[in-house]
Amino acid sequence: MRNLVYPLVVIAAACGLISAGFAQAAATGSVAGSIELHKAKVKTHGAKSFKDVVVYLEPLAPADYPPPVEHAVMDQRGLVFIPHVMAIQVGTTVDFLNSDHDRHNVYFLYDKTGETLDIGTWGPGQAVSYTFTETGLVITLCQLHLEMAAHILVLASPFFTVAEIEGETQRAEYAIHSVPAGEYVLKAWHKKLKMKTGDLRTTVTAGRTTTVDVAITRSKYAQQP
Amino acid sequence: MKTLKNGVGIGAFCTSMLIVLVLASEGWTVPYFSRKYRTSCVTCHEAFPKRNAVGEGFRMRGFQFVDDDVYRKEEPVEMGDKAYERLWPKAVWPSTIPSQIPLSLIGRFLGEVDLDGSRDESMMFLLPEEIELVAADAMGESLSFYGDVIYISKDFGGNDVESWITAKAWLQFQNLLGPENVLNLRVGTVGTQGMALYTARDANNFTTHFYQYTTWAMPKVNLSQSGLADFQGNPFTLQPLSGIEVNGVGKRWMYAGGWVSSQVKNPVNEFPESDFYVVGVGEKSPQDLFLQCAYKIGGLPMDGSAAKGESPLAADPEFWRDDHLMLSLFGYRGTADIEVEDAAGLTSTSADDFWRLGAGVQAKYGDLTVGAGYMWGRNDNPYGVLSTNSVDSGAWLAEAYYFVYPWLIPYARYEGLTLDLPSGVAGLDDDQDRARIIVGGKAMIRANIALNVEGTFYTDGAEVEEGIDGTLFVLLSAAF
Repeated sequence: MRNLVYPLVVIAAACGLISAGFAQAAATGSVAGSIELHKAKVKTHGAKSFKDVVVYLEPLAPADYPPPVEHAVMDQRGLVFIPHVMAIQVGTTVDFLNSDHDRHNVYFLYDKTGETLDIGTWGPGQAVSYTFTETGLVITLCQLHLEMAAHILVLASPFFTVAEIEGETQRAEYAIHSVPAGEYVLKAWHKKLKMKTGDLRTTVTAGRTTTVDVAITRSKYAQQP
Repeated sequence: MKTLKNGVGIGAFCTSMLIVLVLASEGWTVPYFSRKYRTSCVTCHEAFPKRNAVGEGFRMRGFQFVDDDVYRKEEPVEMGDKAYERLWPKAVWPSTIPSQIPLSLIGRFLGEVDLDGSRDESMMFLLPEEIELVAADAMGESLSFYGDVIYISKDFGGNDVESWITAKAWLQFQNLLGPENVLNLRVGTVGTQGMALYTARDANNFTTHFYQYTTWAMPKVNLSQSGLADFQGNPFTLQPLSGIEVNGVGKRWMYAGGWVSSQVKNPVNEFPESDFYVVGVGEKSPQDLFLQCAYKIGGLPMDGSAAKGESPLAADPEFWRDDHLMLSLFGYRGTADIEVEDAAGLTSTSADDFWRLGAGVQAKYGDLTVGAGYMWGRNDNPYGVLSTNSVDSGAWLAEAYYFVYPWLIPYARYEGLTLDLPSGVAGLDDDQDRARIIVGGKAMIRANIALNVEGTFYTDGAEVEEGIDGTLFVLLSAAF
């Protein structure tokens, strides 16, 4: 009898975990769609191209999301920040590498406040980590090589993706998965263009993909918030 | 190269001096931009150097298109990311420099055929007549520059050939205040496009000859006939001068105003004092002012902003078409020193205050463009102690050109000048009015190679501008 108890307990536990997993999967949905450029065209090649669009969701109901344990990585290679656009959740630690044979510096310009922060200068093969504790756009510069720049968008939630505009078609596709069902505001960030319609209120339904197509355009054509 | 320096030489050549400037050129074709944007010359030119609306917008924005980064195929070298603008004054203001040396070369090869037997030589070759080395580009959104060095060879109406080298250069700071392109500041050789009616500029023209209204200067006194030891008159012409200029452009308007000195060391209508000189450099501090403005009704926006569709490069399938009516005004207020040295060596100096006020109009419809202009002038005292009379002038022009094919453009211009010169001044002919018809055609052999065949025929005052009347000019130009 005792020999039978253990397998039953294990089976019951496994079933419980599986059902819990199904329940969690069933409680989330996805948001996907296209990104079109309205009355605009962007360059999609080169070290500082305009191909990247960050699409992200902000929940209407306040919620805390634990930051990821994994570090994000930004390299400095060939006098270029790689990637040029990075989206992270607040609380994420970014490792700034130096893969060049020259010294590099990392210098933040906080877009919202105009404040600056120099996190240091280091040599080839070295790295410095920095944890971003506030949301907002951080323009990342190297004071030793003035042409170098990257954009780090620090977001409150983990529901984001970086889409790439395709050069020929001048459009992109995006998808954000595993989003808990609920009400959100969908936003898109591009270093030059704005959302034509302004922010879009979006409902995420469990087990389904909600389609939201986005248009980005020059500021003068964009709906002002 | 041969140089004539003394006053006797200048006086003796006072009539043929005028010939010098009729073919004096200015490098306003910049093939480097074709390389930078990987685009044909016709993107910006109707037939180089004459620009179309896209080219004019590009020029006035400081050699940039709207959304310039989308169009250029050759990335400039950044001297700092744009974000450093926000860090100023703690950081150097960012700019760029061209990734390739922004040089262009233009060659002009001229043949002259005497049609009426008035010249000593029935045919003259100036091969080359000019070699122009041009450097121009934007340096980021807030700076642009232009410079040229031009080897010039002229024959003064079929006489001895003279050669020399000129240079021009300017630096422009874009968007100093207010909305985009409304206030730009230029230093260096200014008035390269602004010292004239906007609707009739030498640097934006089909003909091989400059306009008469921009090139005439107050006639000099012939020293050998007057008995004077020297006469330094007013050298003013509507040509580029060194100084400071502010300019701006909107969708329908443009302006350019400057602070310059017309008392230049080497007037364009005289033999240069040296084999190499910088155009328009003054002998005294600037005290003259000029203002040019224009208004465009219809057609593409003047500032190069997108109109039909969103691309300024795809506005019209015919690159030369841009139906519009344009009105232009120009004014100049200056002062020049007049020096008269008599036979005994006694020198008298006086000031000649002068004005130029003009208006122009240009209409473009389909393949036809017509234009007209008038420039009134008054010089208070152009002959110093020799005469107390003021001199009024009136210069006028009417012109038309027509695109028979995209590469073939016949043109005609009728222009003239009347001068109310004082009588009784020894060594000064008081009848120096002139009028001429220029008729010809321009054939674009390639987008970057042009052939002009052009005849000049005077209806009045042919003797004033000796050697041009009844002459056929054949000019081959290549830019690369």
